[in-house]
Amino acid sequence: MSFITVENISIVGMATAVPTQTSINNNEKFIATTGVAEKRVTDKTICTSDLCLEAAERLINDLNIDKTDIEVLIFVSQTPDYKLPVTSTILQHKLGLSQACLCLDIPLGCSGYVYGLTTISSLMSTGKIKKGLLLVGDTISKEVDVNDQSTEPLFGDAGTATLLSYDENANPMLFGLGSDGEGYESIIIHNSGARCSDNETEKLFLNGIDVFNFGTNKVPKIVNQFIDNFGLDKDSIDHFVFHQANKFMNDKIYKKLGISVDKTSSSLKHFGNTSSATIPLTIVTELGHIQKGNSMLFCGFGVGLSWGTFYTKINNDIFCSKLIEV
Amino acid sequence: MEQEKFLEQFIAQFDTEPVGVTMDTDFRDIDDWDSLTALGVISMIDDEYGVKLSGEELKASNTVMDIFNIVKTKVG
Repeated sequence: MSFITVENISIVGMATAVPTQTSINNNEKFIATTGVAEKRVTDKTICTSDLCLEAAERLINDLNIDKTDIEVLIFVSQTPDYKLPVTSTILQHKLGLSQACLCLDIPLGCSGYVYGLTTISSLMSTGKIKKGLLLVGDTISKEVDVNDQSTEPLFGDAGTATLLSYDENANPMLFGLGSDGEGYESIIIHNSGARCSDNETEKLFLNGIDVFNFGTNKVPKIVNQFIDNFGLDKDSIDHFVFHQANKFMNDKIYKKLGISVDKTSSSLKHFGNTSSATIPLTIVTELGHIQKGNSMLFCGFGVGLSWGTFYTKINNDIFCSKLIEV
Repeated sequence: MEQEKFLEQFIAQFDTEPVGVTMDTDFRDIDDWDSLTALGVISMIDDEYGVKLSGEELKASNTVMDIFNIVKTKVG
């Protein structure tokens, strides 16, 4: 696992935007197992970038940020506007950010928020960049087969914005990242890129059992490895925010890690699995804000296969804008 | 590893206990068998035997005995 320590960067605030349209699940067994009673889904006119744009505008406004200070924008998503160009430059333009802004897309899913945090904080730290905007989200509902009962009821849509700041008083941000490409076919949309056997793009395929095995066996190991590497005290961590895969898998991971459920948060019931957006969405909707002095551990894991764990003890309150409906 | 105990643990994964299931039953023929029950079985095997059963291995199995034999081989 790659272990990275980033100095002098703090998370200032977060915002989340979801579509207004709610899709309700009716299968009681499915709801009891996955924890997903309903989720928000976009129509054809709304893209991930539209949700992220709304979240970013609200956050910038709520925090009264000078847009010219934002010199890095990273967009993490598997549902970009186009194959090319990158969506981050389009967002830079729509947000009215300066041309001095570095723009980058990262096409990761469930682990994407932690990878995005690693990349943006590293760039800001080395470049002493005042402010950075991390926009993370997905509209996976557009990629699922409506008749596939293992994916359609599970996945919801959301777009998020996280604002980071250069801050010499910030505690270190700790990261542990890894990958296992052998499992690349566990979650895949075949024929969706250059490696096409024909012109017909397929829908999302999810090998539930292999993903479950990965989540419940690999994730507890990598989190423990992360905690050991940085010499953290698991019991003293205030908030554990994990990727919201499904209730069955998440509960098993918490149990294997020996984490009290009281210290975990879940947004599955009303929003489902929103892929890359789950961690910031859960913070905004379930925690509301995070108080100065609290410590938090995030873990994203899934498609790739790919995983990332993050820890910091914050020395400023993390502000959360109220949930936005688009 | 006992067959009788394994069969009990397998049956316990169904919401409504299926009647007449034996080691030779084709588990896909059981009315309530679905992908969520499959996850329960995988999870039970991990909890009780410390063994990881892959999607491919489950796909290649037909009867409860087929699963039992894979788990038994892995337990060693």
